[in-house]
Amino acid sequence: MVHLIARDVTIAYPVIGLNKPEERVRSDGSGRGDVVARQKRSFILAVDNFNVDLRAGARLGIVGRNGSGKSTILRALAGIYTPTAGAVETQGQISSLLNVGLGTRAESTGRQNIYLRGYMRGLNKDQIAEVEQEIIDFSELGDFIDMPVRTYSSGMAMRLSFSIATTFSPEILLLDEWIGVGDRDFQEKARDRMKSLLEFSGITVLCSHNTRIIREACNRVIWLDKGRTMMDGAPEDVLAQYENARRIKRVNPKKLENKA
Amino acid sequence: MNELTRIQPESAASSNTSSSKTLLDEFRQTLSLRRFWLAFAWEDIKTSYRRTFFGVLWITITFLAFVGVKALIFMPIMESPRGPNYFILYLTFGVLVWQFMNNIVNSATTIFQGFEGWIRNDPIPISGYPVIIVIRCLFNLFLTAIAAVAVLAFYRYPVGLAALTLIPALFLTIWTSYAVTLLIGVISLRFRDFGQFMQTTMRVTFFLTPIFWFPEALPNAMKYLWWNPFTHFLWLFRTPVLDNEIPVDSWIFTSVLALIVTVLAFALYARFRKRMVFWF
Repeated sequence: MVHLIARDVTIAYPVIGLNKPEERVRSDGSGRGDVVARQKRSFILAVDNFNVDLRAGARLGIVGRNGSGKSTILRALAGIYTPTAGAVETQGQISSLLNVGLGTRAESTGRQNIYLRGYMRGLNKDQIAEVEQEIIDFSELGDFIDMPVRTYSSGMAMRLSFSIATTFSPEILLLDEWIGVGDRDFQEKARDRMKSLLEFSGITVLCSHNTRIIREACNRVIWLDKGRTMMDGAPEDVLAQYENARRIKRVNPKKLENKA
Repeated sequence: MNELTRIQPESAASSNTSSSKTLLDEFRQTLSLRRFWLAFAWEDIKTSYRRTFFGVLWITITFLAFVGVKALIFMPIMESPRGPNYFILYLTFGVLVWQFMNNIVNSATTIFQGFEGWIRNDPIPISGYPVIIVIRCLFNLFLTAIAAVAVLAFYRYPVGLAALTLIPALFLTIWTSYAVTLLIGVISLRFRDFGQFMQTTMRVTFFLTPIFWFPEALPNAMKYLWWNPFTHFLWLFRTPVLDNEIPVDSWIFTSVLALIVTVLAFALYARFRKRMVFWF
């Protein structure tokens, strides 16, 4: 069965190229989200003890501010980052859409990129040819499909990558801030496609700081702050708390005093 | 339009338990992705000559021009043991092999930086990317080798049976190229000075390798230059073709070197492969 499990995942990035460790240590005492110096080498503790157990049909949303560890978690779930501690266990074909432009060859045409990504999935030429037209149609790229991807607008590049990723192997789909990109019509199509993905008992993980999108697309939400899980549960509950916390921060009286 | 086409790949290569992937699993996956490496290398070749009239023939043209100019300048100076024709062939095969080795080492110094977008987006083995470089360099070698054979035919130079050893020599070189690319790639990604160092080294080594000069002319220097590994890879190819001899010393030297480089490359890669993604 399709599953995606993270157990006690902790990820510390090594910091390379900065030479004075003592100047980098900024801390609020918690040690989370800070640069910490350890034995001459420095690390950024990006994710601290993350746990999740996703089975078929799970639509997880991860919310949090910039730098809260959302993208790092996604890369760990995708198998790109090996956790410093803990483990990620996956069963099923993973498609990840992390940044626009990553995972495409800019000098090659859209069509060639379809083939490159197909080969990367271990498919052969005939298998890719079967779905080639479907991908082109869904992406609405038309004649642009035979132009180099570097000539695309970011919206077009996004449509191509989304179409490829969701057509090829949609068992587990990892998306980083993706649904918000592109025009309204395509967003609707993308949402529909993700719904039909679930009918094949897939798993989706969606990172965003846009709570409206998370509320619509997910059936479970994790709120991250400085790499730590603040809350994990039903979308309404978590998002309410998350938005509440942000509102309080915005009218933080201490900060107002400091400014005055 | 919302109907999804489910297609299953032939191999379960990307169904994985990512945290516990062993080195052996990686190599199995690298092999199962052979179509990807090949297609990528082909895209690299195609797009670098797009919208040119001569296309990939530029590789051959550049090679001939380089050899031609070198021959014009050095022919009057060089004391060739077997006449001026021999010198031109000596030079042609020298440059042919050198360009391949130079290509490999120089590409290796920036290989992983060049694939950053892929390495940070897709969980396919990092050790596969050197395959793309080796294929690309082999393609260049093929196009320049055609020119070299044409030069050989032009002078009606007799080639003996020893030339058959070029086939195993090519396999040894391909394997060494892969290991060298992986080794230099890993080190240059972590220590950016190393890449610069290797590029400088290659520029100097061009003169320290008997490409356009004869070892007999520099007997004293050759005592030290004999240890230049590029010399032996060069002799592996040039001596059988031009002198109809099998360079046994060079075979031993290059085989031992290939073994050392392989062990070093895999030891280093096995140690750091999971951390490399953080080195960009």
